[in-house]
Amino acid sequence: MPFQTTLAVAARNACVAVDAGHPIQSYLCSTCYAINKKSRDVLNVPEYRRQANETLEKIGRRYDDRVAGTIQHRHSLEILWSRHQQIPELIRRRLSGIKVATHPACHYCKVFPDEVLGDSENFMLPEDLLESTGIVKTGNYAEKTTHCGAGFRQIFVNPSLSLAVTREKLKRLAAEKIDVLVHMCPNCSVQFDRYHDAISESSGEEYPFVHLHVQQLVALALGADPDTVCGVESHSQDLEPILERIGARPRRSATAQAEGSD
Amino acid sequence: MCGTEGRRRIERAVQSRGLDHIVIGACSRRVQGPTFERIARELRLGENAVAFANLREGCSFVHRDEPAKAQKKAETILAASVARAAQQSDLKRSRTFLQRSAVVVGGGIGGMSAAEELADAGIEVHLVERQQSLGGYMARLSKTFPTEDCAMCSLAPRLANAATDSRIHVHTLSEVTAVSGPPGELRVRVLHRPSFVSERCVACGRCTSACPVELESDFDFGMAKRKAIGRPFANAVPAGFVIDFRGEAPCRSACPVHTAVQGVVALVAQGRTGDAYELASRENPFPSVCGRICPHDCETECTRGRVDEAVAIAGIGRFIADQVESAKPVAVPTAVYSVRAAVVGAGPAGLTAARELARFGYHVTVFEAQPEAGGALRFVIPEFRLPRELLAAEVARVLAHGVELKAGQRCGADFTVDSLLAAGFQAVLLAVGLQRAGSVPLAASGRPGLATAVELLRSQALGEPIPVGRHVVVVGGGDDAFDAARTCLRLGAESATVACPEDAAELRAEADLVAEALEEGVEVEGGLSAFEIVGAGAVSAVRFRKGPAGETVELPADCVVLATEREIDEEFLSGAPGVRVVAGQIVVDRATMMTERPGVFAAGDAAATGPATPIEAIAAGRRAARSIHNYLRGEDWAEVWEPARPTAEVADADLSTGKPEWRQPMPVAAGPGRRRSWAEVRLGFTADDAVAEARRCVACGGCSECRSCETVCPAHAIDFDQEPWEEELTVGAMVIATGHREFDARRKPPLGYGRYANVITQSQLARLVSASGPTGGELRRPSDGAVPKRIFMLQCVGSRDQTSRGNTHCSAICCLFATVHASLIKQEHPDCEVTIGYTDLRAPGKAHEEYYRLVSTRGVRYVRTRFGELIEEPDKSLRVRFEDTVTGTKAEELFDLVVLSVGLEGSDGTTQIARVAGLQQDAAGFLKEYHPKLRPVDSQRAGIFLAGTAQGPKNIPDTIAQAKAAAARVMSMLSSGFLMTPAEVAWSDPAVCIGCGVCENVCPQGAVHVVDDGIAHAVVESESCRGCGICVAECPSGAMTLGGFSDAEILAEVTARA
Repeated sequence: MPFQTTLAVAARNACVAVDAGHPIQSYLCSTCYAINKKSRDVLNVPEYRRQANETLEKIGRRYDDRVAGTIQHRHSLEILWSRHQQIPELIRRRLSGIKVATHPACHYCKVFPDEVLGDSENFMLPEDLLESTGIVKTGNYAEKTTHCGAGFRQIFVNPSLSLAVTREKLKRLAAEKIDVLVHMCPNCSVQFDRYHDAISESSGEEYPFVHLHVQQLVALALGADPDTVCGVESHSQDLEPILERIGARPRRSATAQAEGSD
Repeated sequence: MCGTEGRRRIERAVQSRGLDHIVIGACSRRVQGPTFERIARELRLGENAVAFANLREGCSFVHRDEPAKAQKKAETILAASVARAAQQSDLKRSRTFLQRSAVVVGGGIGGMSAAEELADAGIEVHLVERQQSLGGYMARLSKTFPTEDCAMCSLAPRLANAATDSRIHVHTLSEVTAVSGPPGELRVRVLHRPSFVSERCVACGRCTSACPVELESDFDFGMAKRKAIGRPFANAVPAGFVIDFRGEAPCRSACPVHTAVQGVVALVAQGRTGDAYELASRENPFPSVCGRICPHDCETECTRGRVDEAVAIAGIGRFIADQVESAKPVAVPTAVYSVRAAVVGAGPAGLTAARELARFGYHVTVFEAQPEAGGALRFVIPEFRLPRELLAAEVARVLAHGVELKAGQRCGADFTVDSLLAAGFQAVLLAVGLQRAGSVPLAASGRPGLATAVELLRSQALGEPIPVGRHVVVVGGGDDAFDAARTCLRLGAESATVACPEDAAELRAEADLVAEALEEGVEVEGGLSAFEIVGAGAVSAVRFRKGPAGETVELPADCVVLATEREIDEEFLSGAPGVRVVAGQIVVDRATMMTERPGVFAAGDAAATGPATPIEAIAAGRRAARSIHNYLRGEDWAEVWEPARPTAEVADADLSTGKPEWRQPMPVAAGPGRRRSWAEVRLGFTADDAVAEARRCVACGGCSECRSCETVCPAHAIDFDQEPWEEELTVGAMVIATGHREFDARRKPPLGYGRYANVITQSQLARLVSASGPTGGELRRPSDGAVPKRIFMLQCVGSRDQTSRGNTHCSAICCLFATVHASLIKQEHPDCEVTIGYTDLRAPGKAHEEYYRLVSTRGVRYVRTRFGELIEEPDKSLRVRFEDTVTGTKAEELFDLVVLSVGLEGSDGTTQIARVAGLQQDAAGFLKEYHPKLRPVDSQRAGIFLAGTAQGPKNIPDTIAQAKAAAARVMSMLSSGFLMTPAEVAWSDPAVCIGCGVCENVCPQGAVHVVDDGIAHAVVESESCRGCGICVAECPSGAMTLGGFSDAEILAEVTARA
């Protein structure tokens, strides 16, 4: 996408948000977060702002100091964190004993390292957020800051490189004996979830854990329906065992017994 | 204008036109004040005849792009300053006389250099150091750049000098806790911590060999262990040893008798079981109780529990108690008093008190109603929990103290308190315990098949026959209930059920006890309140009410045991007139444990201070003995409760986060035979298990108070009674040389420091390549002791770091610190590859660049690096991924050892002194100087000067240079004999001041005090005031004014600018 187009779209989004009285733009996706937040910096350069406004004029909008000074770009994780003190009382499903590791999204941690909530080199917010649910934290692990491998088109144009990176990460996480890897970016989620079993099959290595967006895991802890709210059916991996473990599904063994007795 | 020509022009103007003020339109007073004030003084103008119009910061710096407007603004500023000068009132300055002495805080190379310089100039110096020895950081280094000379070789003469110079008073283990007073007469409070070793110490080192406690050696940056007594290095000054006592270990604080638990554990870890028994029995005559029937609060508080699991203290205690035979025979105390004391009751409280009194030197006789001593330990606790022989051995040790036992003597029947007093006993302790089962409104006892737990257990202990029936129901949920149920099983009952009102998951009985009972087949029915025992004649069942609805449940039984709370048996009262029992307890004075009858005391379960467990009874016995001793000696009638001592505190960060090592499981007898056997159920640790378990102790208290050192010290130098003390020194000036601390690399988790064995810091490497280090200078990697073949040194760890976890500054020394180590390694191990991954190589000091060039020719590889990843391989070597930022290529290499060049930050000592002396620190904790360029060794407070890394990162020569500069500043200040106070100081109008004290709180110099001479009002110590004006702004009543900043002056200036 041409640079000017990106800027104009970002400027338009900010205008819409501010005009609608919702000046915080929140993102599930770290790349969206980084692009929009970076655009805000670039739009402070008079020439780029002029170019963007030329385009916006056609739709009757204007990116000015009012918009620039009001708009905030926040990763959805930051929104969750702003209410983290309330989470303990809202928990409906304990995640006791579930070992969780964080995959820190590159575009959240590395584009604005100074503005990361917490340590950009050992990002812990997802695990801190889930602490009160009884999870076991993983903390730092080898290659924590290594990326997911997706790299947008890399998975399509350089699949072997892309999957080699993903495998490296999966290997390290398997050594940590985790149950769930949480992500903060749909692109990472998709990369890990889609290729997890395929990499395991081709390499002959076991990676006994599953992938969830941090939002999904928080929602599950707060009692959300796995299908209608968390969309677990969109995953390639079999999530049923972990859902059963945290009580989001009836115990299969119990069900089987009940069936057997019929 | 500041030159000679300008001076002449000012002189001419003042003299020709008769001027009385000078307005300088230039920079700030901070920069040029002294120059022009001097001119004004020489021209005999007033003390505040010079005013500054700051055209630099206020105008020219900020308006470079608009010169015309700037010119106009400058004119306005000048005009305003002139208008203000016209309003100036004359200010007074006064003189302070100066003490020719100084305090130097920090005994590193900086502090020692300053002290030496000052002493040479004839100034008395107090050198205050927190650590045990002078020497600071430099004493721990190997060789120093750029000359590669041995650090200790250049330091040792300084140390010797400090130790011997009569003008240098060395105060180690000391810190400054308050600074007040004006420059020239600073009042410095110094807290001296005890060394617990007197000056008699001859440094023979026997104590160090005897000490069982192993601690991480701070001196070796954790690369080695050291003992809790010793000295960090051979040249230490002072030379005497020091005991590192960090406070009472939490296990000891939690123990009712204050057993030196950590010491016992440490001795077991060293295989010194006999010594451990002796130590355990120092406070407690019944160590066997500890390991078996004590609720072990010590384990609950154990610091190791914060790492993984608490040390199995009870298991260890039991192990040593089992070795009672191997303990040294009791040393019979000499009776120093002819006084006799009587103890009634040979339970844990009575026997403990008897032993303590015998140790104090009294003749003690114990009267016991039962045929044998031991009390509840003997007659309530069943044999399968506390073996009789073991108890007998410990009772025998008590009696071996010269204690006389008269068994089968019942108070009231065989003797009375009066008869004892008449027989010459001067004090009587009633430790009669709780002998009777509490009454229950169920049914009268004496019915066939109905018994109380106390009766049942006592009959069993006495070997009397007990018909228990086939199906036993025990009513109650405490320890006694389970003891009774298990005893019944052993007596032949087919089933035993404990029925209690509590929920089965919340029993009062100890968890292990319940678990063992369940294993033996005891059944537990919770939530049942008994209300009726069924059966005509012999019992046949018990009826209970269950749940809130109160439905009736019936448990069939041919034997019912009522395990109610034990109660006092008031029979003894007939023999103890003047003693009262209220609510089942003997009335005593809480503080002294004396009953209402003088000379008669009470302790143990029966007394109003009553405990609940045998260990608490033992504690009560000890207190009673002390109280009786006080009474008999007619000494101070003080509290006899042991004063709480500060508990050692360990920060989470200092607890190892390595792999968890779980505690040794306690072996338990298994198999179907157990429920019929009287043999002990818990089998106890083997010697190997006990040692392994004891080694898990993290020695959080430092010294464990085992007193092994005391036993071996030939000079009798060990003195545990030393207390901290404070003194106030009045000195002319201070030099702060409190040094730096290293950036804690654990703050950067991706670097693996603290998790990966072979990731160390440059300082740790310094110890590894130092001849006096733990490896004797042999380079060995920590994981396996192998000589590393490939070493990677990562620079700028925590320095030049823009992330929230690091510091932004350059730490200045790290490039060459790494270089000197690389050079030393290359010289010793030419085949070892050393790579230094740097950000930018900085070697600006004299001969530093040349040194770097030289070392790079020795084969050290310098790579301009951007660090990526560090991964520990299974063989503990380290895979490092980095970018070579010169070639722009990425690399991934395997290293045997990774050394982090961590940056420097202000030390904890720096923060402490900053707090107490009102000095400012920058973001990294370094002290701010008065002016970064012109007055770099002056602090923000007059009379206090800065030296070394307390002010900022610097190498050794720069530290020494600055220390000597600071010493020179002290000398120039003190040699003038007196000090003129500044003119622009605050003063408070006593007529307006309300004495609220706000000024006192806000003054950063501590220069304002509220005094009360009839009316409370603030007084400013003008010698100390620096004219910052905070008090003026904060003063709610408007009483405070700053000289030179009166309302008239400020209004004149503002009006002229408007």
